[in-house]
Amino acid sequence: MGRKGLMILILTLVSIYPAYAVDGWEANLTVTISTADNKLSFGQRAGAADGIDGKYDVPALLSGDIRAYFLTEKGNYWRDIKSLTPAETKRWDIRVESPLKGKIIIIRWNPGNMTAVSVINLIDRSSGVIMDMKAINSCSYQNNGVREFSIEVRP
Amino acid sequence: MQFSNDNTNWSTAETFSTSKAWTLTSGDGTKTVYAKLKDKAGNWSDTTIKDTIILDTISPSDGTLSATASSSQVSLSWSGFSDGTSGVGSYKLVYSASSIPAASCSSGTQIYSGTSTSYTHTELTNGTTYYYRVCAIDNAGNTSTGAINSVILPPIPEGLSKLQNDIGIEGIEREDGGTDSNNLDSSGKPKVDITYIFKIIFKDSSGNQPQYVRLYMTQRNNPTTGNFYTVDLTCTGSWASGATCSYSTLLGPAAKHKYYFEAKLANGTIVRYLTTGEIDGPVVELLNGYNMVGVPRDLSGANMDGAAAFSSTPTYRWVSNGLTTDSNKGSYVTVDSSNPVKSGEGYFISKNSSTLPELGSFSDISATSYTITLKPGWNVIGNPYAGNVKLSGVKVQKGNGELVTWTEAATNSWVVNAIYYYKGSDWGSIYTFESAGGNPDATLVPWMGYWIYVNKADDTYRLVITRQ
Repeated sequence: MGRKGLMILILTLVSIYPAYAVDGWEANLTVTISTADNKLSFGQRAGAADGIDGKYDVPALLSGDIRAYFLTEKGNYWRDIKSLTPAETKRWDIRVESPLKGKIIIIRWNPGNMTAVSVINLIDRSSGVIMDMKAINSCSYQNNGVREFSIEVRP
Repeated sequence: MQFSNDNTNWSTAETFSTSKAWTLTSGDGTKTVYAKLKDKAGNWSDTTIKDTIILDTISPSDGTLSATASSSQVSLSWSGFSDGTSGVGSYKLVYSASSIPAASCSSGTQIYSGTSTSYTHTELTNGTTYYYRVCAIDNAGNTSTGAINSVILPPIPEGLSKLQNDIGIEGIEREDGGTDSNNLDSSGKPKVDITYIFKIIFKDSSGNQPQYVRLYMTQRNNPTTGNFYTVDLTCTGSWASGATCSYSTLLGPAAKHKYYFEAKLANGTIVRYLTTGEIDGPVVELLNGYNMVGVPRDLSGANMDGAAAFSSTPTYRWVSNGLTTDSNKGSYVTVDSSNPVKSGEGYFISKNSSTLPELGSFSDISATSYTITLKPGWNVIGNPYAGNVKLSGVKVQKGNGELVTWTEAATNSWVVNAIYYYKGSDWGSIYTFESAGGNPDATLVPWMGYWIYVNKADDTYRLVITRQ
């Protein structure tokens, strides 16, 4: 590839991929039912792996009225930081459980912590509804059993 | 085609066209226009063709505008605007630092446009007068004259001063907006995870950056100089016009919280707020039911059981029985004088009084570092010091090896990068966590207890906590 072609490729890449902070980004998800809530942390950091790594990832210590966690190959986690590879789609699978049947579960986040990514969606895997996490800051549903969601970050 | 304003009196028939200028009846309000069409065979339409439109030529009525000054900002809210015809559609807010903006918000700088009825105008200059006008715009586009107000931002004193909108206890507020004198929610239940924000203003008209702005904290009723722990505040804004300096933290269920602020100017002069003495901080109550606690006092030789140390019977310590994959592996053991309470260890206690005893007759740990020997699996620890300790500043030692940082230990998978704490039965009997390098950055708070997890059973692992 000639110098001109290389320049075009670089300029194309610069224009296509979002301008991530050098060290990445991190955001929290708070899952609430009645007076109980679980905080889940997710994001992308330079030096983090897509799998479980000790520096960044935290197993869940589940108890009580709400049990929300990331499903990983190593078990249930409360913090799951993935690699900082802006060109790749990243996905976090979430499970929410509670013994308080019939009560409303609210999932909240701060879109202001997600400005580093181009597209980030919360997908309700039971209904197929896709929510733009940069456009809204919460969703809720009536707790009728285990419910699974995914967060998907796309370039 | 023919037209009518009342479906009775019709205009002279005219040739069909796709548009028509039509004069409505006089006066504002809802207007209905009727039409009839005739085909080439001479048949008039038998269904009513009509449409309605709201005619609004009158501007909305003005309400009132309130303005409240605080440090470098003004909180504005407005109400009472109305428009009986088409309704108020939006508001426009303008300001000027020299004179009242002209009627109908036709002059001044626009700072808000939309449907909200409040706005906070920030990054203003203290000591300046600001003039505001808010106008209502109805759904027909008419703009009201507008309601006006002005406010003077009081000048910031030199050195340290409290924020001008500081209410409740001086120099502190709750992140959740609750009453800063306690840790109760609106229904009176104590919470463990309330973030308190210590906040002070520092001003040096010369514009020089101070050498430091610090918070001094203690949990003693009658503290001496050595009982205070310090933390540097983070400051934003201009030193010359007044920078806001703050530090956010949880607070443990200590018998007392006292604090003051200190700044060292560029020229070496030290200023203090309060000038003398300390500010009495929030009363941080124990959770209803069980709590995880620790003791930041030197209890060596005291042989205290749970009743003596925490006014709690029973008091439990956790004894790990090794690594686990799916649930706690170990047991809770009652604390008694033969196996007494000690610094650096965490306990489960049941609430028997509002806060923990002061244990004021016991000194703080005097050593600059404190070692806690861990077991494989789950451990319950406490901060041995009466000041906050960043988890990232804690060291970990494997066997007799070199000390490594907590983060390195987590990277090596020696420990899980988290401290977990219990939020109480009022809050769903759940745990939450903080990580070193996370948001918030994990901090060991005095008088609180934490679960930590050791991933390895191949050697003895120790925490080395340094007074920070």
